[in-house]
Amino acid sequence: MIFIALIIIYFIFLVLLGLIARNKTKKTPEDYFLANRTFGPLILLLTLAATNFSAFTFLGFAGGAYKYGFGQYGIMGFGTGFMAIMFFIIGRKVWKLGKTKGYITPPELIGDRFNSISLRLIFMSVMVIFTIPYLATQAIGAGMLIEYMTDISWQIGAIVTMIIIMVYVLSGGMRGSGWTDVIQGLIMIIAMSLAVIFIAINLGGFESANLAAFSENPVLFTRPGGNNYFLPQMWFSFMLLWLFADPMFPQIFSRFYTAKDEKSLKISMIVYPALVSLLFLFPVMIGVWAHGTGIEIAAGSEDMVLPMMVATYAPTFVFAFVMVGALAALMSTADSQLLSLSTMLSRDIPIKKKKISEINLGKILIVILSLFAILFVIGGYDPKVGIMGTLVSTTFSGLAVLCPTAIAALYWKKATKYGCISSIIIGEMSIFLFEFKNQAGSSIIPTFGFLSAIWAILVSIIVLIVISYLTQLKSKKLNIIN
Amino acid sequence: MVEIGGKNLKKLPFWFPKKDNFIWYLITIILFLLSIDIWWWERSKPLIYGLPFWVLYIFFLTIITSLVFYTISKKIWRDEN
Repeated sequence: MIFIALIIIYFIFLVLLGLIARNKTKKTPEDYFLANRTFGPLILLLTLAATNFSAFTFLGFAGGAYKYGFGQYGIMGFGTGFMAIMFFIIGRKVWKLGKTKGYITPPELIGDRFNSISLRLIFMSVMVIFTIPYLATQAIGAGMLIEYMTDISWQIGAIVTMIIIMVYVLSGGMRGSGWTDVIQGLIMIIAMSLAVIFIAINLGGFESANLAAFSENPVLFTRPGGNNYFLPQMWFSFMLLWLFADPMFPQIFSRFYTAKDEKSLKISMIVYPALVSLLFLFPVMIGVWAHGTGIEIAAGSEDMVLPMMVATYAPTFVFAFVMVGALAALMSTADSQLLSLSTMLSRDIPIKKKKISEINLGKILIVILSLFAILFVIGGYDPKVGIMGTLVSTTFSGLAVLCPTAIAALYWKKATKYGCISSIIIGEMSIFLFEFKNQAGSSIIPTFGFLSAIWAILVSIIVLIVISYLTQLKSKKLNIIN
Repeated sequence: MVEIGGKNLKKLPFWFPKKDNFIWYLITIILFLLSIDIWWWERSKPLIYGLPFWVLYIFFLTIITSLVFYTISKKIWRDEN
């Protein structure tokens, strides 16, 4: 009952924020899609954080820690914290180019740099293909969370959540998305802090909770941890993966454009690692502590360890608030994905838009994409199977392959469009080759314990350099002949 | 105007390592390498407040990352507004 009341208040607040943002938004694409590039340090930091922290941060970290142990903190805490260096390497340049040349989407910058519509479309397609299933997954996650807490079926919960997201994104555009991200980010931080404090108190303090888990399952306190998961190759792979993948999420890349000034980006870069160092430790501790409490979790349901721990060891009100926090994590990612997808589809596809404004086209696409996500839910889409399942499981790898092209576009004058196109296509193909397994379940092409994404990134870098040099030489020869 | 071997350094990109900021590039790379702490694999003790010491090591390494990024923002990342 408390959860339903909190959810209703939370949803109403989000819609109101969206409506207020609508009143502040002028009818220009730059204002609707990028909040007129006015996000100061606090809003930028919290919108970047809330966008990047998804359901995986709340539920998946704790589930991973329950399964594999404290190693989960290492790859996520330091890995994503260090990723903030990309705010300097990529964000700074993107912000500057966006401001001077009026770019709104990531593919727009890449395509314009190489004067290539094909590259722009390929870059956009990869971002869209890997983001749509992820959006549907967030909606399903929200539905499941609501079903866990109430008698409402997960399908209804997912559809209602998607409609609320659609309403405030439709109303407020990037300003609505950014403002709601601030609220959602704060809810997440408070909820996670409350969860860990109440559970620790009820387990006799931090040290007792840790020691109880240690005596029950000491493997989780070391690496490689449970199931021998965190071998050094895997550890190295994850540390590198976030660096390449996170800034290539269209919802993160687009946020670089929204910064008011360089100071906002700088402060976000400085505070981000400190924020994740503490925030990411909480769900991991809760996941590990569960072993010392005797709570049994069935294989495959590890992601439910955090709700179960909070339900058992925290007051009902705190439990309800923590679940709203988890919902906030889901929604802040989904709203940003929805907006960035509609922005790209309305702006990067070269069609004549004489009869309809870019903003209206964007709004229509927001509705279509929301309905698309709802159709996934009604159609009984299972995020773990089929081609969509493959896309969800390879989202980070698929997007990481774009990073060499983005860096080349920003820094390497000798890079060519052919080099970039080949790098993306061959890089994406290599992911599926490295992921392909034979009947015995082992990879056809050996990965030597590293994630397939690392090999795909390496392939895409080599292809980018080789093809760029080859095509440069060819064009130089043609110039000499002419 | 700085010149090396007759080449004008003004043409180098802003991020290119120079004498005064080279150290910060090096520190950033070392930070990343320190996070691959294979020398502490298969170890959990000593436990500090019940946490394995390497978890606190990673925690402080992440805090140090913030401090290094602060210095980068001051020393290397120059505003071009």
